[in-house]
Amino acid sequence: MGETIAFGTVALLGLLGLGFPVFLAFLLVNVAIIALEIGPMGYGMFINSMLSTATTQALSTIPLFILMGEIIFRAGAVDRLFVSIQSVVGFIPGRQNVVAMLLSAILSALSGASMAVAAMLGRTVLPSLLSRGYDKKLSTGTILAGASLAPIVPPSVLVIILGTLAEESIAKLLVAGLVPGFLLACIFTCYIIFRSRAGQDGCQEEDVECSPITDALPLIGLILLILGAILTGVATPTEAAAVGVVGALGVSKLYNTLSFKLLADSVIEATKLGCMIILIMICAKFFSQLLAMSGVADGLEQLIMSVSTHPYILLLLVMLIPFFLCMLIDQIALLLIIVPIYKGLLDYMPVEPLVFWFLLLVNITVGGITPPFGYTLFALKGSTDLVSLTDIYRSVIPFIVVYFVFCIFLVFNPWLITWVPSLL
Amino acid sequence: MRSVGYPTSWANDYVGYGLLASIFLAFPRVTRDKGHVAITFLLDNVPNRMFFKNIFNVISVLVLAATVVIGAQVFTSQIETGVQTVSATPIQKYWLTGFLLIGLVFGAAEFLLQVLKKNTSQHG
Repeated sequence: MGETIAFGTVALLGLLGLGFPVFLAFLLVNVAIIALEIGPMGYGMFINSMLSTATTQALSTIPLFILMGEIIFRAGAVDRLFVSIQSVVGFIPGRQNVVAMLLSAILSALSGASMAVAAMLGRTVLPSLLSRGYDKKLSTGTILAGASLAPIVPPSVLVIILGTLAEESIAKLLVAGLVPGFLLACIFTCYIIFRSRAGQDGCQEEDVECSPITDALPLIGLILLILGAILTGVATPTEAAAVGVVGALGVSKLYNTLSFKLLADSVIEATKLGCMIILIMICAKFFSQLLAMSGVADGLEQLIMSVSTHPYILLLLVMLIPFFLCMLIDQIALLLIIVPIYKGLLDYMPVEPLVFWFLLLVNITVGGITPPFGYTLFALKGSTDLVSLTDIYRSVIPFIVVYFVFCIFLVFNPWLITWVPSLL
Repeated sequence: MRSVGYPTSWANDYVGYGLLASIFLAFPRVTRDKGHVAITFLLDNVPNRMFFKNIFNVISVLVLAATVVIGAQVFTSQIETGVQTVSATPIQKYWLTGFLLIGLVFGAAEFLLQVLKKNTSQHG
């Protein structure tokens, strides 16, 4: 059975690479393994695995957070946020890039999906930056770096998936991203200001009509409400997400955009996106169980352990594997494959499980913006023709370097990750 | 409600049941809108990619059909045994499998329609 599943793993990676829909690649391998190895005995196990994943209450957080983001975006929050942030950072060199960074950080918190933020800002903010004469590479890199904060800054869809798979507290994983996410946003902003000062390239910093900062307050209040509910223990992440949806409706009402059409469109889109994500998990769960049952996961663990037993070298190795794989494989699919394998390696790591899973999350995030195949890069390219793929590749390198240095810093200063969760 | 001393013990379970139903009822629509995530770097750069997409759609129909066959057998056995969910508010398990089967059948039909549409447009 072990050999069949090992072959199935290779076939799965092949199917994913060929462009097969991710959920169907998992489903095909599962059905093939049942037909070839387990037989009718596995039918009940297979269907029960699908049913138990599909009824996991924690996963309902995913469509709820997506719904919250959909309502906010359809309520016209992006435009209001853009002009509000400008009124705050109007005196800073390279102001529009700083605005783009802060905007993408807030949108990341609201949407939880890097690709969505990159595509949205690529369509709306990037043309405006380039038309004002801002440096193409810096502006493109700014948007990508800001968008890459989405999985880290709470609330994040990827964290819910990771927490469910790793059997780690979702609430703790969610709030763990607060300090590192804030620090990264600050570091990126400082870098942008430094680059803008070093190379003032005649860009136009003309005054634009600014709406009052009060326009942004309901959105910031909404983020604080969700985090506050989780941090104080008043609500579970699912309950906080549901409160977030009600809050988003309130924000929409404040902006005078609440309508039945807005609500219906948001619900349909959130249902479709939620279905797409959770369907992958439903189909992959049985494969994870097969990996564990057959001993293939143990074999892979032993293979990794055979390279080195030094905790820090081992940590570097297990972080590099998803980093490179993430350039080729979808983030969710990758998590579904590696988390069951990595669970067995936790005892050998120099950091505690919460820090380990958070570092894994950061690695996967960086993989998403790393050339040549980072997913988020293609999301941005797909949204605009104003920059070439080569420009995009070059633009993101400094931010990847920042991420790497920051990851090393986190390994030796894990309190930055564990401090907020320890308050729960 | 929980925070003010009125725990709704059924809520967690029914959220889960509702989640399953919504996922599988939305599945055919997501398939129709071609909303499933796939890594298409390679596929986008091969000549005659419609041919390969067609093959993928045919394989998808077959895989979903096989899953429906497996699911139907489990569904029948669940009706015969009357097995319930393991939860604070149990329900008959065949309800859940029923939603799964409905979703998979209509999802497979959507993949099949995509194959037929492509063939029709190529010949027409």
